[in-house]
Amino acid sequence: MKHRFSRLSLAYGLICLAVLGIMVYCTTFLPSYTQLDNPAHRNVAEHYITQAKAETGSPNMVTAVLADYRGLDTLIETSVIFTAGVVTYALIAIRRRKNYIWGGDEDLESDD
Amino acid sequence: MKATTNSIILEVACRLLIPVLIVFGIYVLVHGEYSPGGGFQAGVVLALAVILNRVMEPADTKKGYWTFKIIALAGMGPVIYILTGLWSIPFGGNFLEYSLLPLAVHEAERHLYGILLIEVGVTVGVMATIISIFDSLGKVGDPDDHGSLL
Amino acid sequence: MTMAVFFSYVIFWLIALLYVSGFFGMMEHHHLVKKLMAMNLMQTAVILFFLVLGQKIGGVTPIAVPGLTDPDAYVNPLPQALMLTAIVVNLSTTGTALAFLIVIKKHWNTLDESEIMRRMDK
Repeated sequence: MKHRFSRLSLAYGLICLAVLGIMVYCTTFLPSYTQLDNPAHRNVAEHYITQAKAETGSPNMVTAVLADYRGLDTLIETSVIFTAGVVTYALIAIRRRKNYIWGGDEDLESDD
Repeated sequence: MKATTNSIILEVACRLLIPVLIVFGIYVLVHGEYSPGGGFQAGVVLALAVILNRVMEPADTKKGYWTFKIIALAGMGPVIYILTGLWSIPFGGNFLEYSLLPLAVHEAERHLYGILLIEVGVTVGVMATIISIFDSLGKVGDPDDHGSLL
Repeated sequence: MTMAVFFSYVIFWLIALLYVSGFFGMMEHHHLVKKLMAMNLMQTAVILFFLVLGQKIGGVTPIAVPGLTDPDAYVNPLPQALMLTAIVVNLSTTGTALAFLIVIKKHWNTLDESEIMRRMDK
């Protein structure tokens, strides 16, 4: 089935062009790209680069940051993955008892 | 005659690829400190070996699939991580402080063992979750499908 | 600004174009799976933007070579470590969203968004 572009699509296109214009204007405020005096490369990253081998013993700086300097973030990350697996299982593949009505009020009536 | 494979080309290719993927996954996990790699990457490569096996077989051979026990294995990932973190507390350290782990090596090497244990936990969690998502999404048209909780 | 500095921002404009393509796709399509794939496109654009911010001229992979001790020779490792987390969140969101779409399809027997809104109002 061919996709039909209606007049609403034109409005969406103009909104997206406006968003693109705002983003392009804002990128000119960014600090100098790939230059060595970028403030993002100065404070913490310089410490991680120079001290990773000495303090953690691993030459791979990304693993040292992820598992040693920011180890607590990786713990919560792993539990997020586990939660996604449990939610997918609970939505599709779980088994219900027979005659089970979710949120029904048969129980209330039988209590009387 | 009942088909035993989906396609002969797929079976030959998967028979060559699956052992290589398992060995490469364990290599990426263990060499996470000396080359690019680590826990998340190794978990995905190991899960891919199992998923290629699922793709190779026809759709009605689902007898041995444990959809619920795989979730229990996925829970072991954060448990291994937390136990590694708690291991240094009785010996005077904070949570996840690798310098005071009770291992008989030089102090700077204890960080390497701590990082390795953590990455094993992350790999087990990621691998089991990807396999369980794939199995749950594939269970939709089954005869024993009782529906969902909703 | 000089022309060299002006054109060094082209990569940011291309990433903004990718982001806006995903944004347009999410608004335009009626089918829920196509909206999900457009959201994936937006997430990829954000991850690429963050990774591009950490580059340096003449930088190598952030793995310590024994002879090189200058911190200006290595690429910034911090965005790469943070974006591993973002990729994992991407995976979890896509898996859970696909499970939700299966439940929606079972309940209403259609995956068209305007159909579902119309039936919900009835």
